[in-house]
Amino acid sequence: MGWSRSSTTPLIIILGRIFFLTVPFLLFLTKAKSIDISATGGWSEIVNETDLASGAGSDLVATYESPVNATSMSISNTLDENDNWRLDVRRVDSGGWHGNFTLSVRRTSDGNGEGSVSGGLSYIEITTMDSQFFSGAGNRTAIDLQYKLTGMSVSVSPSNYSTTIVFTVVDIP
Amino acid sequence: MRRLILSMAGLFFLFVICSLAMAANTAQQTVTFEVSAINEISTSGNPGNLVVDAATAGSQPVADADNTTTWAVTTNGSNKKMTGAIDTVMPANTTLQVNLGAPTGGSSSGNVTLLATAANLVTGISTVVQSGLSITYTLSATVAAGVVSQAQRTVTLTLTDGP
Repeated sequence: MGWSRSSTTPLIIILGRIFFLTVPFLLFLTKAKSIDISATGGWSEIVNETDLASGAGSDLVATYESPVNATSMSISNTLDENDNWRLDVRRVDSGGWHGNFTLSVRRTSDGNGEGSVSGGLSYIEITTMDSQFFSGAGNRTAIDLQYKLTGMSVSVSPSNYSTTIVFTVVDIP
Repeated sequence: MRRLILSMAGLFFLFVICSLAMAANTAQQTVTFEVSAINEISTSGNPGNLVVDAATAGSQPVADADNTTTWAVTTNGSNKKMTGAIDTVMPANTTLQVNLGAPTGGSSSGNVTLLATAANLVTGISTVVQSGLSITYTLSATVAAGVVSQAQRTVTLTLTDGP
């Protein structure tokens, strides 16, 4: 009744050997499959009296847009042009970001490469939580992004306001 | 055997962790806005000529006033004030006064005699956007001034720090 020690031990050992051989291979595959993302650029803006809507007695222009290629993004190390991925975006306020500001981003170019991109052509608000920005497949380079900030007014005290935009590429099985 | 199973479980856990860690990569960008101090004022133009040319018998001449101009202000600062001064003192026994309307939150000093040194006209100005604020100039003279030929004064209005 039940398995004897002499009959089960070799099976466990064989399974163990298979497991130990398989795991490094799986780790290799996982690493080989990881998609890389890189981004260059950013956006810096100085707001002063030249941004008043119509001089003294008027408020600051509320909305500012970056150049259309403020950030250039590349996706690489995909398996092939059918390897799907998704790009999420969020912001991390390390201090000094103003509560009146609303920051948005949009994709202004498809970039280059064997893969493809879709979505993200309209501005989406960047919050402190990840939001899906756009998606694609395969490697793409030089995907241009543009930012927009709204909520500026003289009620915003003179100071520096900064936030970090975090783009996350997620491999979609 | 227990050690083997524990090792397998450990490696599997490592695999899961590695898979999760490698499933998403990130890139970062920085967005920075620098908001400078903004303290802008303007006036709508020059007032009309002020002429003292009438009097009631037995009284000093009647002062002349002009309220055809306005001023505007935009500031993102706090605790500012408006001061006023003229480039050259007025002739003896004549007085030029100005009265600036205060923006929301500010306090007007009322009729203030303009001198070559700056005087407070409005105080307590903070974070405001307002236009169409009144300016009233008043020229007065006593009979001791005699006849004074026409002259001009440049009035300098300044938005500056201060209570």
